[in-house]
Amino acid sequence: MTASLDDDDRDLLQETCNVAMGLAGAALARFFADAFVKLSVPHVFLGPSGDVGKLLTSGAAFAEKDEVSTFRQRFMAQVGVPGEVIVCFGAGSGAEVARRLGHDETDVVESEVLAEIASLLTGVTIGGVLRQLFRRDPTFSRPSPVGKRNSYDATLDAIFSQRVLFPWDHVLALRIAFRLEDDPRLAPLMQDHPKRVGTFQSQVVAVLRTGNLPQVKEALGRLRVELLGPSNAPSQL
Amino acid sequence: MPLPKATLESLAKDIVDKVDVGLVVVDAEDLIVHWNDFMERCSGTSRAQALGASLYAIFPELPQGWFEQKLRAVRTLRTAAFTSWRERPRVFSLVSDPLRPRPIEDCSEGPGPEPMVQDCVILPLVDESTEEVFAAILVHDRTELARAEARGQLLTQANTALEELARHDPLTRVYHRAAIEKALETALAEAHRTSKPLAALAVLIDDFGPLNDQNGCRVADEVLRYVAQTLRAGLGPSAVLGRLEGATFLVVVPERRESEAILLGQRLRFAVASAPIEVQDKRIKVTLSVGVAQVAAETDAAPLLERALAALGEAQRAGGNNTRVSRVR
Repeated sequence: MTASLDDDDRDLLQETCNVAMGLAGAALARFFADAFVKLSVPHVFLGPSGDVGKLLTSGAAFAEKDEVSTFRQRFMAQVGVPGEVIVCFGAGSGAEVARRLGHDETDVVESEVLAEIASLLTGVTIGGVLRQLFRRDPTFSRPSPVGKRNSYDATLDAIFSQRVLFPWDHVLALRIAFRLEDDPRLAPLMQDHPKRVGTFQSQVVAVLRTGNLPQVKEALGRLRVELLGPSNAPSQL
Repeated sequence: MPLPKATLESLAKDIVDKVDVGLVVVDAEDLIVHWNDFMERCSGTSRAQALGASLYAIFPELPQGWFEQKLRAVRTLRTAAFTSWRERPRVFSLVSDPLRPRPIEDCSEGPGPEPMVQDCVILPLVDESTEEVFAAILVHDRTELARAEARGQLLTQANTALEELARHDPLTRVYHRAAIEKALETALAEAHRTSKPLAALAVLIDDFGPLNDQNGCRVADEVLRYVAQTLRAGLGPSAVLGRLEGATFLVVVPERRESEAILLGQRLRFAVASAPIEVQDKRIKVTLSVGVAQVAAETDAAPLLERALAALGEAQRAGGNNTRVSRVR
């Protein structure tokens, strides 16, 4: 069993993610009507779990010592292909998103809003990628909180080095960052509301075990045939 | 061999109606288009009444703005949404499934149906032919789980209360001998670990024997109780108080120097001596003797306790109603 992806596989996986993010961005923009949704280019990581955890700290939406609130959702991409999604939120994100959704702050607790947003972000992004790859709607568990206001690096260390959520030695991880910003075209209207500029910062990381790389490669092969025609099918010797 | 489509559809309808999970499907206007058996028996609203009605008419207590927002997320993003019983135990006003398996003990439960504690999942359903998006609301009964958890918490609380009770002298409600000796050991170890001072005060009610003989043991018990209360009231939260035996108490005061401990001993003495105790129409004057021992080099509680008791003996021999300090030679 090869625990690696070749360059073609990586390119196609990256492209699949990019397409899914385009769709996700459009859907999120519809949902957060007057906000700009900024989605990062998805990053793919592959390797020993501890190393992936360290790689995830660089170039992330958060600095190492930033406080984040974290949720996890388990999923099944297809039979025998389990995965984990880890969603981190920056400080103040709960209040900001509650405000944007028009929730009465006394009515809704922060953890509830964040759980709701975690499920929504996971569904549109990771759900989109998995749907394209595996040709079926993935099933996600309800989001459960794994940490409240812990530092980002400690959170990653607990998950990827101490493996409190999954036991896998080698993982394939996909990272996407989000920001919500006010639409700059609305800026003149916002002058009376300086407090409107808040911070919503979030990051979604999906994790598969490398034991499932054959299924991922098979899915990518199927996708390649669909996109480019049967001549591009991997040669079977 | 896959089943014919018509058979599948017929089976699917039965499964959906009989499954022991609540299922409500609403259309784009939040009007109910499906209502299964579980919903009928847990809401008391029949399928005929529910179909075509607004979700908010059937559940007037449902926070409409909040729920509409969830449905909007499900429809526009086509993702699942959830509610959790820990945060919102009763989104829909339903009773716990009457057909839910119950342990025998629950049969004796009080009258009236039990409100359902629930988890909900809201899923998008898309009609492929018309692109119309429906929302399926699944309601899971978590009443049993919530009750078990509450029971577990109660048990933990009860055990903590029992442990606490077991440490106390039933008469005076302060620590009994074993508990106060243990507390002294713990405080001593802590004092050595943090290099902070610690003092022990042995306190005796003067002439308790004659008091007992003259007034009877009921009055003597009242006096013991009164003195314990007065001592407790004169001590800070970090101090520990216990009864060693008969009329002898021990006070353990962390982070106190000798001079502070002597002052504390005097205060306690005056608090008890300042007014006579009124018991059963009698006014009884009580005084205390106090022996103070400051922690020196000892690492065991026993020699420290001995020094405090020796100082107490000196105070008694000096006529009682005074304080003596143990000097380490």
